[in-house]
Amino acid sequence: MTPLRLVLRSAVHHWRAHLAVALGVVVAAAVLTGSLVVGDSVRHSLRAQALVRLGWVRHALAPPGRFVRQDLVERLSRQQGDQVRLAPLLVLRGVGADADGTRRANRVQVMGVDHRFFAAESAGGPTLAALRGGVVLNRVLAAALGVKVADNVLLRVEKPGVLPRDVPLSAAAESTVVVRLPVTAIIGPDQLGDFALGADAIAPANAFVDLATLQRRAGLDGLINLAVWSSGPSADQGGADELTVERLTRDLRATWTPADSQIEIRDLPTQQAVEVRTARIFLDPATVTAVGRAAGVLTYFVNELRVGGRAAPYSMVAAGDWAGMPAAAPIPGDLADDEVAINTWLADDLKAKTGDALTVKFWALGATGGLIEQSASFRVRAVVPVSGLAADRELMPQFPGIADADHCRDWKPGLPVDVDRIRDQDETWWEQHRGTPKAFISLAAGEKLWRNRFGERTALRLPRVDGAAAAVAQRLADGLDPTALGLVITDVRAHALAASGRAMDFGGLFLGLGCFLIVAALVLAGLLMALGLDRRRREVGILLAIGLRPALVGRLLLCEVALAVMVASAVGAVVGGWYARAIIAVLAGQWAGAVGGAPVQYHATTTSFAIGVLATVVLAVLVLWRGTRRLGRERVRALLAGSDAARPGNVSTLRRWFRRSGPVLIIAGALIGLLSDPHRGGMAVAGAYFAAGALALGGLIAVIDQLLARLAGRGLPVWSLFGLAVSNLARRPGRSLAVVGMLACASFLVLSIGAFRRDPLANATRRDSGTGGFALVTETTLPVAGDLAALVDRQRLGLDVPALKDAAFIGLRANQGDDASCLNLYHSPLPRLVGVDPARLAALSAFAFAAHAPLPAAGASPWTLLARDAARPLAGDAPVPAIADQATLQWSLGLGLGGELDYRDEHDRAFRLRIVGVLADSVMQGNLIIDEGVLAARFPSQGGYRLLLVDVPAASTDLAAAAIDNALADYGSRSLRATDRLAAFLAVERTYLDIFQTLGGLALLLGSFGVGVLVLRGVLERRGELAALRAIGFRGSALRRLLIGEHLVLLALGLVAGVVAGLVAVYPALLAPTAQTPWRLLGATAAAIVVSGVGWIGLSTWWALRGDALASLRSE
Amino acid sequence: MIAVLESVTKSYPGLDRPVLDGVSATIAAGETIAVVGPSGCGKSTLLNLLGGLDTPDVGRVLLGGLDLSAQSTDALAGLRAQTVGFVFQDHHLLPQCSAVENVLLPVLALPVRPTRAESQARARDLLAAVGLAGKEDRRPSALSGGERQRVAVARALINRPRLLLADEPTGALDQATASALADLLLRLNQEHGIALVVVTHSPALAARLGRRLELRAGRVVEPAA
Repeated sequence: MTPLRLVLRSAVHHWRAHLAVALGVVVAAAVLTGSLVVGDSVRHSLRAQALVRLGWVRHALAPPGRFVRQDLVERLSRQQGDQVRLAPLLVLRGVGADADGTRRANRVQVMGVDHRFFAAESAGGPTLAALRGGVVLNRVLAAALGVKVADNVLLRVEKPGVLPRDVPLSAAAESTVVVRLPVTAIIGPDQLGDFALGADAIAPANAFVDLATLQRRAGLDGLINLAVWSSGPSADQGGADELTVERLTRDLRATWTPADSQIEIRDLPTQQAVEVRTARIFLDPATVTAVGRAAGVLTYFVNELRVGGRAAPYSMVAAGDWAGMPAAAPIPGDLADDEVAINTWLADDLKAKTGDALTVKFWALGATGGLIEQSASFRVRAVVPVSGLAADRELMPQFPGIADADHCRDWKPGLPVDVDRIRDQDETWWEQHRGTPKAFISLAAGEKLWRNRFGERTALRLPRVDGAAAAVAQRLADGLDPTALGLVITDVRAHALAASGRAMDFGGLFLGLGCFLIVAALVLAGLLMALGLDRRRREVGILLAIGLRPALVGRLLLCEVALAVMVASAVGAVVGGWYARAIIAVLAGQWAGAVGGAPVQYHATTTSFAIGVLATVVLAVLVLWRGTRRLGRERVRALLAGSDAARPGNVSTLRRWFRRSGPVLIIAGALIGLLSDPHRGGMAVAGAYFAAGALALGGLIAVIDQLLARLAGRGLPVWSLFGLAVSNLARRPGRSLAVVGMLACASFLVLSIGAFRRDPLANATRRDSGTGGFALVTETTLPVAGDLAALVDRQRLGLDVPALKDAAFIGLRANQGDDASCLNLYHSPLPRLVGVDPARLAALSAFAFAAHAPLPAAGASPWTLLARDAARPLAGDAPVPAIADQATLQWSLGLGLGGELDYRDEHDRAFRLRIVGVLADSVMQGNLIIDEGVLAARFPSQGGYRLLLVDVPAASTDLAAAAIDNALADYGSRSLRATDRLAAFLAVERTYLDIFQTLGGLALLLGSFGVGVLVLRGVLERRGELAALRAIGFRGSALRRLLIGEHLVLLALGLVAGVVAGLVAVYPALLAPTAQTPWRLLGATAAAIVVSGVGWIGLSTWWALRGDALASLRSE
Repeated sequence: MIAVLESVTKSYPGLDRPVLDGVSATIAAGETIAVVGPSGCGKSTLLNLLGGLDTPDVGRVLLGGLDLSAQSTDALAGLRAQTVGFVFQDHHLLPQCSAVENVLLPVLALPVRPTRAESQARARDLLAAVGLAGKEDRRPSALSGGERQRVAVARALINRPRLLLADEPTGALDQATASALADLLLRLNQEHGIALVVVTHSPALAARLGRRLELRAGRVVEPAA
């Protein structure tokens, strides 16, 4: 005989008892493993989705807000050879509509591609003819528009200007272009139909057109804004990828020329200069630095030049480093910052002379996004002839809407121009001199007046010597890193895989949601094991009596149980696969809110199964170990006699203290409840009431335990069948308490989760609510430029309608970051930044803060923590302060107050964000909010507003929404009630609570099954006693009433304790007029518990009482 | 002396008086003692104290010179494994083990176990000695009541104890079987020199043992002169 042999023999002999334990372990293993498999499935699905979306694309060059010459891509392609797949794209934002405009789709990606993008991608992919003959839609867009092949669609496509529309001097020309095309193909995700570089669980709406066609229609001939590469040929054959980001970046640096980034180097023989300028009007600071020593020029279009009562409208004024200019200039080279040199034409026009005061008026971009007219005064230092540099019309850059106009009245500069002010002499000047400046100031003075987020120079001039142009070009090529101009190559596949790999851990989530089910199953297994071991008390006693040490006996029992646990865990893991499939099926349906509608496919890994089995074995053994150990330490004498050691005298000290603490716990719970204000709402209050309920529950269970102990100690005079039933409860107080405790805990947990259901409409109109007091939140696909408070801009945008007469807008800028809300399952390493004027939100005290950094002054609004120096938003190395929603920080970014996040701006410059404020349950979830000026400085190309917070009277909210969407339809506007947006975010949380309550309900049913088992076991143990009662004259019906009565009392005690405690926990929710507490679900759960419990009790009683009573007596 | 009881008193909760009240006794090597007395007089308690299954409230129990009250639980288990053998009224055989496996169970408790071959051989010899040769591999359910009790006796002897404690070993047996078992116990006492303490209600068995220890109301009653 060996210990192993004894274990095996015992395990086989007591297989029935082990089977019962195994069933509990199977459930635990199934839930545990199944949860891990759900996590596997979500991760795998996101990963697969990301890879399918990217298709063959591995690397991408996507300069934000900029374009590069397509020729750069062609040169790179020739250099890298045919083995490397490379394709150019032009990607523009747009809005789609069906032919009659009844169905629309916002946030459409319109992609101009050529044959290289789709080439031989997969069978059934779109042909070149399909691209050239019309538009290829992906299924998402086709479904949204309700169109099929051969139907026509309208695409309103963004027509980017050289400058964002909100910048003065950007053209007033149409910012969008409408393209009407027939649908030539509809493609699915495996044909690159869902191509997107970003990570979003929801597939984008894509429209593919011929590249050349889109370039021409958008006025971007020869320009692209996206280039994509495949992996290298070795990687395609399973080897290492030689096409690394580093190598591609080297190739780019070696191939790129300044002209590729629209930097022009011009030879100006008349001015004896070589000039560097850009089609983007303003030269990047990096370009200026790379050129090095040169004379800078900053020319601006001003509204008026006035001396006294005379004014000249709409002229050019040039600020420059006149002393450094190559050409001899009549302009004084030592102009002070308050001095101006005017030409003779202007002097004659204004009757001005040296010493006069000249006022310059010009448009600048105001804080509210609108134009404000500013002025500056100078002293006339000199009157210069219109000759030499003073006659240089090339000093004016190619201002869009101005440079190409033949007449002043044809100007369309994107600034308000009153053509009635233009005089004949102004037209004459334009005909003869075009954009030649009429006034000249110092470069420093010009920078002070006209510096903007794009740059401080419109041109650089160097002396024209032999080879100067080439030398400048070389200097730029050598000294200017294209990455500083946004030409950064990224491994988009690695980023997509990282985003999917670090997505919300659904395995952990479902483990948490199902933890109660796991605990219930293991507790049930422990209970069944204890029952089984109870029957082996004598066996354990003899082992101890013959000299086996208690520890050895405990180990032998544990090994026996562990055998059963291991087998059960393996079986449970298999069942877990089915459990996971069931969960995934429900995630596609009723619980779709938990995954934001993302499709999830079943996928299981061996690792998850192994972890599930191992974890279940460890957990189960830990739970069961105590029981095996306990038995081995009982008195041998008592074990041999088969008596139960659980007598009143054998109660542990801890148990005694617990019994006495009942009233204290109940009072503590009551105090917490009384001291909390249920009307305040919020998680903190819900948590307080949950704690109060939990304390009450503990107290009630302790009181019941004390009651049972007293019954056991003193006994009760038994004058009735009911009295006998009650006294029977106290015979095995531990077992009775186990029944009561299980039911009470389970019913409390299921009910009290309702405490955390939030009502999104509660106090929704308050400023300090999650809506910020705003009625509407509007998002647009294309940015909206202008001051939404100014009548002129509202008229221009069509917002000056009766429905919006009382509307107030707060506009927020946004960059092209990831959606970091709970609706996006992917990890968002670079969440979207939105820029706001903090003063406006501070003035309204909008939104509620869960936490914030120390305020600069007492009573100040936390929004003021965002404020930066408007004049120098990028000054200093301090992190940029940011405010974000609590859910975004906690679930998407894993940050808290004071946390920091690394970011890169449009120029690929690194900077850090620091969280200075945390919003509580807000509509701003998914974004990081920073100062508007900082956003504009870091992402200058992201002009205009893409997010609007709208105040309108409550009664006209829907009308206002319709009016806004109608007016801004071309911008792809979608207005949503702020409460609806908030409800959508909270829907995810609500879904999680539903899942928890459903799984908790299952645990409750499991608990009631456990009750039934306990009942059955107890009754079977008393068969002899019951037979004796029959023998002395009790009828069968009386015995049934006795047994059922006993256990119904336990059922009732457990349910009452759990429900009372649960009601305490949900008290705040009960008070809310529009509470979301699912009374039906809770009622159904409670009914199921009662029915199940009564059913099990009845079944067990029937089973135990069937058969011949005398046979039981004989067996006794 | 194998075992000594010095003014041992033992009480249990809920009882008005001690089960044993100042009991003193000695057990010499090879001695046979019958413990007799009415039900509830403390006979089984006396045996439990001798075997280290319980500890006295007052007094000492010395086994092999060691004060059992001063021993840890594990030490007591070790003493039981190597010094004491138990035979109970209910044989308490493990139903899942064969006869020989039941006999071998106490070997698991030894700190240094003999080889498997030695243990197996000894177990079979003991079963043969108690008349169960050929039935080694039978489960308890396939043995008669008397045969099961003989297996229990063999089990009690596997570790060569110096003291054998038997609590009503014949209580559940018919007369013939009980007599055979008594013969067996006495023969083992004579062959192996094991001290034998037997709690019994059987006057016949008590008469066959060398000494008689009578308990009444927890106290030793001196035999009549």
